[in-house]
Amino acid sequence: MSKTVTIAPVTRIEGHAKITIHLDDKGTVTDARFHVNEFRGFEKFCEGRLMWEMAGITSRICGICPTSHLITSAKAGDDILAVAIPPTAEKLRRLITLAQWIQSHALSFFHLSSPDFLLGFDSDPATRNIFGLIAKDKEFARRGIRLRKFGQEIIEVLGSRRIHTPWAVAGGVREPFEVSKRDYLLAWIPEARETALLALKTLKSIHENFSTDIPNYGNFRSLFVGLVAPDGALEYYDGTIRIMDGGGNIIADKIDPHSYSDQFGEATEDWSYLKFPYYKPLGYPQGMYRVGPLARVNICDYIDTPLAEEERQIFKAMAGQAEAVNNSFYYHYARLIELLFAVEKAEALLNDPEILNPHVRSKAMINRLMGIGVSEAPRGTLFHQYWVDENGVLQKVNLIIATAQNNLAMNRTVRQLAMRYIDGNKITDGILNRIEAGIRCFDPCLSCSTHAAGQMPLHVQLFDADHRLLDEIRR
Amino acid sequence: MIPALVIGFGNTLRGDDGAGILAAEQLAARLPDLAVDTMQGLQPELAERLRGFGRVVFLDASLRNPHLAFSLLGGSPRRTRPGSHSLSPAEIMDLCFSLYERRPEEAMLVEIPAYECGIGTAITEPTRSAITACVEAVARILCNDQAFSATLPSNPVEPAA
Repeated sequence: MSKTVTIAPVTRIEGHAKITIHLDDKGTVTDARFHVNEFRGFEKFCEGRLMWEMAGITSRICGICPTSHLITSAKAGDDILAVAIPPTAEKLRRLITLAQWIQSHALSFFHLSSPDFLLGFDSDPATRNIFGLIAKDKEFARRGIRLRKFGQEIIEVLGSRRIHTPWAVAGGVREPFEVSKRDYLLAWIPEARETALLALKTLKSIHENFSTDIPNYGNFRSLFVGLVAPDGALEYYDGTIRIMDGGGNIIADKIDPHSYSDQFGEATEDWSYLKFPYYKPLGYPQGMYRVGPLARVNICDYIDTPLAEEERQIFKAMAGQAEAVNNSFYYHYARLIELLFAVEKAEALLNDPEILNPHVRSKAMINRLMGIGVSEAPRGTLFHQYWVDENGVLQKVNLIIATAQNNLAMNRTVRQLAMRYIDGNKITDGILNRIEAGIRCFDPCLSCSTHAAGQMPLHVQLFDADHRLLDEIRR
Repeated sequence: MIPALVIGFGNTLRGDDGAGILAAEQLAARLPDLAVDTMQGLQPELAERLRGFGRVVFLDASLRNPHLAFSLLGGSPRRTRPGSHSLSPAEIMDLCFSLYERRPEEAMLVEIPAYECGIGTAITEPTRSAITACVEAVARILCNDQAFSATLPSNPVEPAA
């Protein structure tokens, strides 16, 4: 009798999701799926609103990466106004984008993934969390929280609020920067850099402990997609799209983000509300691709800050002949390289005198009826596309989020882990932990969900082929 | 008034889920000297801010309580299981204590009943009434400077994490 194992929802990711694992008569895994149970209907909600409101509205979609939505929305607005924003406004937007990377990457590593790494996948689930981490190394946990706070401080200082700031607008930003704020943020840099380096050192130190697990963590070839700067450098705010295959070959380059819909399609499946974006020339599902830190560090030619570039070269050396690192476990490594880059780059921007220029906004009326914004959110490339009428009223909205773009790859990762670790009907904590940890490599975020109390128990169910409940676990 | 921090959290694009934020904003308007933060979820760095206050009030929407519910957050550190990018009020209090060996002497969670959490900014009438009642009650409690335990409605129950 075949069976289905259900893990719902997945812990230590954001939002409502579950995993089902399908077994055949012999208890062998035949398939595994990562389901998203929460419908995202924000595009429809935005129709009829004014284009000018969108930066403020879309930044309220997500409590985890609101700044990414804010910046990408403002860029779509720039496109509709057909304006070139002042150079200082771009630098300030770049700074706040780096801040988003710092706070998000710090949370992912120190708060969510470190307990697995430092306490072990098979340690007691009751203590394999931030509190267990504090018990083991309080200073390490404290430093991680401080690093995240640094990112939040940049956002708060620039935007006056930590989340949902309406600071960036079509045409630039609302307020110029100030010397006192610049100096305050610069004072954080030495500690932030030291903590980012500590994180990298820690990840490398535990690497050997997981040598038998790592080969199973989403280790497959796929395409990698992201933005690169005109000279091929790691990019986070602008640039053009580059696509690399799993062998490290650049198969498409210098793609104008305006033509993203020619390149990427969105498939749907009846078992998940999350769409399945794919690379159109290869079709669905062969056009599976990954975005985010692993993709970005793979596809760029170099990183223009010294310490992060040094790490990138070590990272690339791991790829061997493939010239692309295909194992999803190394999202963690790439994320920390980006974390270090973000701190270094933030320092460079803060030391740039032009960042204090008071001219930070270009003003214009509606000059185009369609606009596209793109940036690199912590989890990957984020697209906003708006269609407006001549008054700027939104007629249609399309948002393509990073977590969706990794959907095919997350499913493939879950299947690979399930096939490696599930054997028969027994589901141990260690197996559940490894499958969840496989998903956490991508640090998915579905935080557009409600969070109201009483919504998030961990629930694991085992069904037979007739969907009769065989077993059930609640954490 | 004893210095206190009020934290309203939720998603204001998800209907009643934003009740905690709306209540916090109304409290800020009524008591200008009160420290009020609003956020979508409770993040770890909030622990550092908490340690600077003697009392804290968390305001949240709740689908499990049909009535406005007040509860004290325990007198001893809790052992809980953080489950996502965000933490519960009990977890953030525990995190504060675990990291800094101190935390607000008094902490209270107020759960505001929520009914519709679909996409949109509309608040249902029962939740709107509960927000008003919440603001009245919390303002009264904070202004009278008495211990939370002495001013709460009867039989406070510590909520699950």
